[in-house]
Amino acid sequence: METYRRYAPALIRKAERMLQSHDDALDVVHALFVELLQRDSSEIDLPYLYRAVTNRCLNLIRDNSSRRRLLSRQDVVLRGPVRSTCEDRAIDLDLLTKLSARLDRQSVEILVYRYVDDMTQEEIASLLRLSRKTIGHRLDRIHETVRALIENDGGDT
Amino acid sequence: MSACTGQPISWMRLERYALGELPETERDAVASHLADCPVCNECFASIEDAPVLDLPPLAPPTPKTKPHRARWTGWTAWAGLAAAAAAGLLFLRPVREPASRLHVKGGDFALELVRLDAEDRVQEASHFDAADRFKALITCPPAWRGVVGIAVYQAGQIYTPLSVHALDECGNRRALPGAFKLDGNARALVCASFASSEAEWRARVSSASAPPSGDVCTALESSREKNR
Repeated sequence: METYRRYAPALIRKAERMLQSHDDALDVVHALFVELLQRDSSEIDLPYLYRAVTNRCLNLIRDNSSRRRLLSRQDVVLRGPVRSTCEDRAIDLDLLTKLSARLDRQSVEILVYRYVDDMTQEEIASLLRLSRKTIGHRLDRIHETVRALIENDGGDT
Repeated sequence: MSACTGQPISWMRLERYALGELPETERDAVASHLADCPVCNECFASIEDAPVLDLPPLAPPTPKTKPHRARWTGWTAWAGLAAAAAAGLLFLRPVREPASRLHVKGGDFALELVRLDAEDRVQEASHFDAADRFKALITCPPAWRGVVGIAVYQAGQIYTPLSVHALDECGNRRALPGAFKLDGNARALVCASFASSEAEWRARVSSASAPPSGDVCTALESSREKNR
């Protein structure tokens, strides 16, 4: 499957930034392509695969046992350089797990695109087929949630 | 935080730039930014300089082993109920289906196993060797939400080889994360158990000495036993 050879390395890097685990990232991407192969999917591009990997990583983060395993094994180096912050915080695995319990699913997805993948609001809007204004409003609410989380934890998030 | 000189180029755009997939106008803008921004340039270099990954092979499409759904109808239902009652299971903890499943219209649940041998070649999934790995593909109705886990019933024992997985998006042949192995000589009954929550799933599995009603199961024989 040519798509696998072409896109898997980029997707594994993306999953590593979210999960901070090489093995889990590899497994997520491999499982995705096994499924795509079974479905005989064609005409898939990198943006589509980015979304699919994001959602699969979020499934792992939301799953109690997977989350515990990820947090116990996280490799901080795999998060990569932090170029975008939310309320002066890098969105790493620790913060992502806490926020995934407080935000709705699409907001967490937007959070990942904006602060882990460093996408602009326009890129996120295009990827999710929403208006840029909607993305802006969702990001405002995300900021409020992050602020509340930081205040509740006494800044120790 | 590493300071970008302007708006950071997203990782996806950097990847597409590296793959030569960006339109010319975007390509020029990215090139111009990379020339000025050491931080984004470092990110791009990490893509360009990444070691070539040894990707695990993908299983080619194969004729699928027909999954069967555990049916508890007619005399088998009565026989199952009698056996469970005899074991006192019904009185200890009632086994029940997730309510949401009962109301699903036009959909069904299915389990499909992909068997990979020690060299990651796809093999017939009707039996197993100790070196084999199995990946589980789940089919569930698109509107259904809940969790699924794999339970293996073998030689009077039950074990759960994979983490319970939240199904936020159902559909056809969703691959569960991870793979598992089967060992021993006894026939193994591999079941996908669906529930509305992880707690309910654990209750279903821990209370069962046989698959609870509604689980989707497929039986595999040990190759050693088959060749004996």
